[in-house]
Amino acid sequence: MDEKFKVRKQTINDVEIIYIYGILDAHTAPLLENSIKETINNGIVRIVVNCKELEYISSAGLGVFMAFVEEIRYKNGDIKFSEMKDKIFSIFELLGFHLIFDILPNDEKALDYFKLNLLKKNE
Amino acid sequence: MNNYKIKIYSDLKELDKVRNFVKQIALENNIDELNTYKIVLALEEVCVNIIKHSYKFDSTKRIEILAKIEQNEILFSIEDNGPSFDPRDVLPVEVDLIRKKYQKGGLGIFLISQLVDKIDYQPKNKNFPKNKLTITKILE
Repeated sequence: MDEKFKVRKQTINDVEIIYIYGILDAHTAPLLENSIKETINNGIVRIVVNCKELEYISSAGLGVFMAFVEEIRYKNGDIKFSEMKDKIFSIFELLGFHLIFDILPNDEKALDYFKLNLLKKNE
Repeated sequence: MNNYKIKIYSDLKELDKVRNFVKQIALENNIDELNTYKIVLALEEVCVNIIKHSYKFDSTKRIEILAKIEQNEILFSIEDNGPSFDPRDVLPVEVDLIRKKYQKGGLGIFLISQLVDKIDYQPKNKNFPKNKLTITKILE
């Protein structure tokens, strides 16, 4: 499982960048879920999910973000995505997730959004 | 006409096998990356539904997937012998409802309907002892 999906994190001020690698399916989604839970428990609610090395996401993977986003936004945070591959973006688009989340070209841009306090709100 | 078959255990670990099965078919039949992705995704959703809801994570149970290529379309039949469940019965009516309510469940089935062109379901009966879900993807 380690090779199939990996998570690496980097904290910059009050923002955590979570780099996700590989296959995010129903089998590996709990790994990400625990990882985000840990970030929130550490008091961080501003998260950038870097998808540069993400090869696959299924609804179980998308469900992880959905499970946390409401709580995070309530706490004045947000989840933003960066460096997403076209095929992954097309799945976000198919489900309308591109309207719920900011998907940005790179981490710098995502960090800028947080600096400017550009947060999506709970509907 | 090409036919393919794979049998997996009712275990989330087995999803890798399904992905590789589709990738191999795609390679042999020149199916492009995005269509391959959509098929893999639809099959994962179907299998996860069976593993979770029908077989309740009993990893001794089996799921059989048959694939058939016909002219410009590809058909996948997914067979199981758990309790019958027609996924079309729970198709969400409105996309916005899912997004706005941040519902975690139900996404999978909605996704299947967005990914493939046709979904058929035949519950097990005395002539055929397994539930058979068939999804059809038209290859542009």
